[in-house]
Formats: sequence, structure tokens, C-alpha cells
Amino acid sequence: MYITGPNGAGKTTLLRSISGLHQYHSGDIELNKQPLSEMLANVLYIGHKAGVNENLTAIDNMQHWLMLTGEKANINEIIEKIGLSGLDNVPVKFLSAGQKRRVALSRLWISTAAIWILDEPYTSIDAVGINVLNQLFKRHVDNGKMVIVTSHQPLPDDLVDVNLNLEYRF
Amino acid sequence: MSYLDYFCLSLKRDMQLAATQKHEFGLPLVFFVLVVLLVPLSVGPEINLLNRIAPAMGWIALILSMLIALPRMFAEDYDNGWLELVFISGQPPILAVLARMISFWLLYALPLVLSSILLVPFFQLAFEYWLVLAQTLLMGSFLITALGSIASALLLGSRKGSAVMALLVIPLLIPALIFATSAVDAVIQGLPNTGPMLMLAGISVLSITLAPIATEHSLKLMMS
Repeated sequence: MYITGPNGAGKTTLLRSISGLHQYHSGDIELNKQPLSEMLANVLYIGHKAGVNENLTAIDNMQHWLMLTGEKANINEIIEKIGLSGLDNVPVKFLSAGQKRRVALSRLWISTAAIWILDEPYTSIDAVGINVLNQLFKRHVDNGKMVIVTSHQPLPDDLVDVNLNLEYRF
Repeated sequence: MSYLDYFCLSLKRDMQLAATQKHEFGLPLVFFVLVVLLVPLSVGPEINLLNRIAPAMGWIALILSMLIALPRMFAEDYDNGWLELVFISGQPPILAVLARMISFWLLYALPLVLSSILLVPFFQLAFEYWLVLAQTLLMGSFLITALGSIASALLLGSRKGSAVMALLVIPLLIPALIFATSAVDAVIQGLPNTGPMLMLAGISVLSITLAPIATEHSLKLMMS
């Protein structure tokens, strides 16, 4: 699902509501007639604040995410996949904006969650990285899972099943 | 993963973060030591006066030193989004809150309580009186950590958090301060101090019990 809309339309608020971070005033959020709030362990949310501690290395951050979710992954393999080989022991604060974003997005390789909720995932990512992300989204959807993305950058048509355009209302 | 494993791993993460920012938890300690060193220098070598003000100075130095650190309790994890991950991870957030409170107490409060031994040489405080004072400071450090965790959570994202923190926490510490100083005074005067000590312990236990729940709800409120 590709969510579009101008600044202030409520894209981030919608994503935060779906992922259980925002207390909405009315209505329910359900998946297959089950409240999504009961399935949070099956949801991966990567927002503007991605949970990366910049004083730690990429490896340390990944270990902490694994601790939080109880998942298992080969961290060195993921470091290679996100193109940070050789920088894995450098504190994240010394990396470029794009590399920091790659560290944040590495959770996509770690996570086994069925629903990915991603707020502006392409920010600071170069063309090669965007291509890798698109392939990853495609593979996730082809496996019968779900990706909800907001972005100001157009997504390839074959990647989008539903396009939800939010209007700005004052 | 069991809750105990999650709690231990949260505690381990907090210690790892502290190791990368050693200067952060050194600052309150330096402040505490400076207060304990500077007050006798400015008051002068009047042993009776120094003896009399030593318990109060120990407590005031403890409160002010911890106020330096308290705004940082959850700030970094809030700023970088880690707290959001904790709340949607499916694990009980209260365990992470409890781990943070314990690690905060170990890293910031315990060194201050131990450093109060400096009151013995600099305020000419008898060692047996210091032992009583240290017990009150220990219970006070639990109390300040508990109350401070709630205030720290409520003030997340606030630019003037440090100033408001003092206004929120200090009035709530007044009863503890009164019981603590009266407990030490009673010992100095050769009277029993069980009453004020038990009152102080009761206040501390109540705060430690309720604070994690209140902090968890405050954090959730601040994130939505």
C-alpha cells in the first residue's frame, strides 16, 4: 500500500496509529477482523526516528533490535547486504546520513514481521539503495505479506497494489 | 524470550550505553564532591557548625546532583526513537522502564551515596553518624530515582525540562528531607531514630512500587 499526500495531510499520523503509537480518537484498526493492537509483534514500524543510537556501532544497534524482538539473524551478513562492510565497528554518529538510514533500514532484513510500516524509507538513500529496497518490498509482498509505505518519491507501478492519497484538510 | 531474559538484556543495554558516555555520569558525581569540598571552605573550621549542617548538606548535594542527571533518564531513547520500539515490541514496557530505573540508580545515585563518606573528613562528622546519614541517603536515592523517573518521562521533549524538573521533584522530597535530617539529629542527640527511619523507608518503598507504573503511562502519553 502506497500512501501519498501533501505535507501535513496525516500520513505519519496514520502510520503511527496503525502501529499502535498514536492514540486515535475514534474507530478501530483491524486486520482479518482482529484488532491490530493484539498483533503488534507481527508489525515492523520504521519511522522518522528509527531507534538508532548514534553512540553505538551498527552491530550493537542490530543486537539490541534482536534483543527487543527475540529474533535471530546473521548480523555480519546483513551488514554486507546494506553495504556497510568495514564500517560495522564505527559508531553510527560518524556515518553519513544515507549510511545512518541504511543502518535503520537493516531491520527489514532482521525482521520476520508480516506487516512492514515504513515512513519515508527512501530518505537519504541513493539510487542503488532504492533499487535494493524496492526488490525487498516486492519479495515481501510476493510472500503474501504486507508493506505500507509513505513516500514523496514515486514507487514503481508493479510494486503498488493500493494507492491511498490523503488530502490536506485544515 | 522470557520476561527475565528481556529485563536482563535491557539492563545490559543500559550499561553498554553508559560505557559509551562515561562523562555523562561523572558530572553529577563531580558536582556532589565539589559541594562537599566547598561548603566547609566557605563556612570555616567551626566543628560544631559543620557537624550540625553536615546531614542537610549531604541531602541537598544529593538532590541537586541527581537533578543534573534526571532529565537524561529517558531523553536519548526518546529522541532516537528507541522508546517507540520498546512500546510496540510486544514485550511489557514496564520491564524496560524498571531496568532503566535500576541502571540509573546504579550509575548515578549509588556513587553519590558512597561519596558522602567525604562528609566525615570535611565536616568532621563522626563515622557512626555518617552510617546513619548514609542509610537515609540510600533510601533518599531510591525515592529521588522513583519520583525523577516520572518527572523525566513527563518532561520529555520539553526544552526547559531541567528547570521544571526541580519544581516538580523538590517539593515532593520535603517530607523525606525532614524525616532524614531528624533521623540523623536523633542519633547525634542520643535518641532513638526508628520512627523517622521507618517513615523514610515507607515513603521510599511506596515510590519504588508505584513509580514504574506511573512512568510507563507517562511515557506512553508523551509518545502519542
